Amino acid sequence: MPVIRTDHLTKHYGRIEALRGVSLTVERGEIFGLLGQNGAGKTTLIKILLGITKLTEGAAQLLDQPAGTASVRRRIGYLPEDHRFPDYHTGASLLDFYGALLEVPAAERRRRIPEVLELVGLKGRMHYKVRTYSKGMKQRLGIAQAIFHDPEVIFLDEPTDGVDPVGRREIRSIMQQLKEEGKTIFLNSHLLGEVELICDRVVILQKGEVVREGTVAELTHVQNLFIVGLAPGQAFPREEIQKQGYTVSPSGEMWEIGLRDGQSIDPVIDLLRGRGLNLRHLVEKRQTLEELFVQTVEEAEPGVDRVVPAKPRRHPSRRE
Amino acid sequence: MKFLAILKDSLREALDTWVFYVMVGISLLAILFIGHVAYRPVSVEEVVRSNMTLMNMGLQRAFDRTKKEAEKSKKVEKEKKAEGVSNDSPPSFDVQDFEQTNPDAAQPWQTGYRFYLTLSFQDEQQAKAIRLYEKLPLVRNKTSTNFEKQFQALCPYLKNLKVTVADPKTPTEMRYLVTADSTSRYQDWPHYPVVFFALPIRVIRIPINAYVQFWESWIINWIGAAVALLLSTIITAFFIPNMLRKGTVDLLVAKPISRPTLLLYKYIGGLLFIFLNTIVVVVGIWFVLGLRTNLWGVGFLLSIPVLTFQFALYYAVSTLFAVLSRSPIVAILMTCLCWFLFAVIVGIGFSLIDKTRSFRDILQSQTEISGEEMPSEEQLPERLLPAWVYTTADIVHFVTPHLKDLDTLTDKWILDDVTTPDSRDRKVANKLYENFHWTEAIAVTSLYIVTLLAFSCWWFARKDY
Repeated sequence: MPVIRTDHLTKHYGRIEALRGVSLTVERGEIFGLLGQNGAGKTTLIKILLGITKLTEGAAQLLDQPAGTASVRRRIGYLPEDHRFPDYHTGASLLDFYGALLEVPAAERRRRIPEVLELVGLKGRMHYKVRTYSKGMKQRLGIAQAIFHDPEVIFLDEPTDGVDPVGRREIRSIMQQLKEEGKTIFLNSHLLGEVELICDRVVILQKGEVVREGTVAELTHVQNLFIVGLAPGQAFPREEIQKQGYTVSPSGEMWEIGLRDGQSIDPVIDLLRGRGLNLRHLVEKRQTLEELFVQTVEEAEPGVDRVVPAKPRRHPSRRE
Repeated sequence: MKFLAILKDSLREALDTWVFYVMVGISLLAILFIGHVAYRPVSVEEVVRSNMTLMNMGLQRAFDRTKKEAEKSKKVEKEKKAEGVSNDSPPSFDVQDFEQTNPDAAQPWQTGYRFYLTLSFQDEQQAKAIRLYEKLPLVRNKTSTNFEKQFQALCPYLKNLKVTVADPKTPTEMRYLVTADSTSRYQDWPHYPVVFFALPIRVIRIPINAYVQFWESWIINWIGAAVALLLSTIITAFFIPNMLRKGTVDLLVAKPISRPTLLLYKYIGGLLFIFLNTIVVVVGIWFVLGLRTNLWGVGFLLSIPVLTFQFALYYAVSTLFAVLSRSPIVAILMTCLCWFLFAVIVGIGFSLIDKTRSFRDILQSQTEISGEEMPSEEQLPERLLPAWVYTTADIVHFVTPHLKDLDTLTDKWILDDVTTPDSRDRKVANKLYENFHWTEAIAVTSLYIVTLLAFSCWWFARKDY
């Protein structure tokens, strides 16, 4: 059973259509990535699912209940983008406040606060005012409050924004841990490399519409293209391979081999081994998520003007 | 649990603002200042003797004036020369044999008094020349009745004050016996304040209940309340806009709590904060005043719910504009505008118009006590303003929040606490405030509060964030 389901979800802000018939499902235990340009409707979609914004048409369900109901909100965690915690709180008192709103019993809150803050690396600063925290620390605190009450579904909107590379790795590790615990994570991030590393499935939104959907492997997989590399100093038998009907082109110090439909890479490997060559690199070439994203948004008429590389300016007084 | 969490959150937010500490500082200073003033009962002998000093000064001035006039008159000058009258100095008043009728009385209001008032001349020649001094108003009018009136005015707290002519002990004096019975209650007895623990201000001699009324009614219920409401408005005006900031509101409305509940809890949090602060200030002042004056009337404590209720309206206005604009500045300005419109323009305006309506009644209460005659209908008509002014004032007053009425009604409670039912102030207040009713004031103002909050909740609940 999917934990999140939207059906032809539409949202209008006056004349502006923020979402246009978005239908998607997220299964339990998945890390689901939502991608899209600024203004594509990602945050609107999350806010509708959380009941922060009301939908115009269609339906949205979360944990088998209409999205936004109080009973559903009790079972979800949320880290908004550009969040702003009341800075008169300390890290610990903030978790205590949000925990109380989430109906976590007081004893449980006392137990969980140091535990969760330790998980995100803030235990040492738990009694400091939030106003003294760096951006990265606030982001960690945001994750802490999102997972504090042990929710079933966690919405993270740009969770690694402002976090240093080490911190990002720690956050990815926390997400993996949560996934192992059976939590569902709905991730919205601009850091496509991270999405690619951690997400099971991805949806790309463009101008309020779903333009791509699938697993990361499906979306980034490019069939019939392999990268092959030999040991240093060994000559690559390009012509012989081409004679067998493969396309061969250099790719740096390695070679890119294209297969026709029905062809296998195995004859190429046999040929190389037969020649006594030492195979050092063999990988099926995949398109990166970033490449796919750029390609997708360009195909789908992006909502922002493209920046055309400027031509060299001539000095007005210079004559040719 | 959620309610308490939001209350704690509001408290943290309040404690984080410097205005809160200003408010606490002002409150503590007010309590300390009012508490440091001591009140000492005035001694009748001291009052009488200081009055004699004043009378002697008056006599000297009158003597000097008459002397100058007499010197101009050749006839009088001749008579004086013929009789060998010395006119170098005037006769003088004195108080002799001053005693309490109850020597065991611990307090000055628990005893009667008896003393002689004497008018002594310098010598027999001067006494003979009394006919000259009889021309002086101060001497001419010093009959026993006039002395009685004068002493009663001087010491209105003495009962059955009698002045009778007594036999002079020497040929050069006039002698009067002054007696007064055990006097009225402690709260009517005049006291003088002692400030900064050692500095008596003896020129101020008013009944102890007047001090209490001054502090409670004028300083706290009017000036103090205005300052407290203003500071409270500033402190609490940030609560809701801060909650509605982008990035903060998302976190809150995503929690399992309905938006109207969230807003109402936040509203009650602000209100409770003011309620607690008012309790501290009012109970603190009531307590130190009680310790200093031994008057423990509880009418002043009514200021706690009344001030909180008034603030409930202001905070409802602040909440509405905070929800609409998300700006604390707009919320503060609109709240101040509300105060100006309802408390100042409508409140004071209606109060002034209403006073003209009962002006004749008030005058009647005063004339009943003073014994003077009421002016005729022609001299003072029943209604001073045209009828349409009263009708308009009544309508506007009825349909607007009754903030000023609440102040007035609290003042009346304080007055009832510190005055006797037959006192002039009480009678005047009864006439003056007969058109002010608790039920109406609370009902109409509550209706406004409920409407403002309902609209705020509706707006907050339907808005996308």
